Amino acid sequence: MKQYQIAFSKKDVADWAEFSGDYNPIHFDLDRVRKLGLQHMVVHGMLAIMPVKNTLSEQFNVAERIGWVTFKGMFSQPIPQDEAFPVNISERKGKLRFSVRNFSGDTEYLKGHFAQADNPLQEYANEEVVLSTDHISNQYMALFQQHYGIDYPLWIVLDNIVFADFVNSKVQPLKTIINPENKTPTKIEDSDETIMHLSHTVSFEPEFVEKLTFEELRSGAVSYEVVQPELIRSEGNTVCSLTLLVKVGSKMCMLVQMKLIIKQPGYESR
Amino acid sequence: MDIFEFMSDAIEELVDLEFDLTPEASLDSLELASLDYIELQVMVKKNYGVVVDADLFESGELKTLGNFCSYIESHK
Repeated sequence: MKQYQIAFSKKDVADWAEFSGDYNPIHFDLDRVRKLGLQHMVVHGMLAIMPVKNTLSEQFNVAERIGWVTFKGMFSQPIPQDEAFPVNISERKGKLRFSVRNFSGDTEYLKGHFAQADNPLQEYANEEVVLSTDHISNQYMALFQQHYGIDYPLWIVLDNIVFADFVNSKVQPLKTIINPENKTPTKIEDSDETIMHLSHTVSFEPEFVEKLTFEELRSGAVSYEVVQPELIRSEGNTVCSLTLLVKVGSKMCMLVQMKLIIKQPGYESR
Repeated sequence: MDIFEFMSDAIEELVDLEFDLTPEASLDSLELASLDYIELQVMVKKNYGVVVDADLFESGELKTLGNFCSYIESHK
């Protein structure tokens, strides 16, 4: 088993918000965080898993893999800002697994794995598309490059720029799809509802994605479609399972699956 | 793929088990976190169209993997 540490400062969180447009109050507003029963402002899930993805990508030897691979990250507990956490990595039954716990080991914050996968696109060939993007503006690429450089594997860059576009352009229309009575949904930062990312799964074909270049991604070649979400409603909460089909040029090359929970006011800590 | 096989694969994706799953395996023994149950609820709804209320786990009505599979079978 290998171990290293991750930690994120307030500046890291501010940089990620600038890149992604994710100004969810749980990252900046202590009063909102306390409603969740937490004492510290939390790190964006996508930011927290970025270095883990990078390490696992190298250890799983993604660039050399044939066929499809899948990375899955699960956000078991919100990660507090300004605190270090050990990341444990182990391999069993063909899966490279990771787990992020506190130093005492009694609380798990993140977990997930990398594994070889079947091509998942066939499963989505006939799914209804509810939101689509012609192409993603290269402003996200420029901001990613400014904050994180050009050394990340291209699948991580692609996943993050799709996420940034999704936060900026799809969250509000998605709220109307989830709740058709909500005709004028607010931005995440202005909403009384609390939205939290529960899990993030990325499936892709390294043979294609890892041969892309920063310049290709900056040229406006990336687009994606949002498939009709799967919803599970309970009192005060809706779990939304979302699938994004990502294209570079005309080739569908990545599938992103996100689970989000939307908590109504008064139900934040449940 | 039958329901038990589907559920076994789904659970093994979520937790690193050192034993083989059987229908008699208690859900408690799998050390699933609340987030794992949400993942399973979504997978079951997507694949079988069955909504599994979280209360069924909390009340102990679904105690074993076999109970869980039978519930899906009878509601799909």
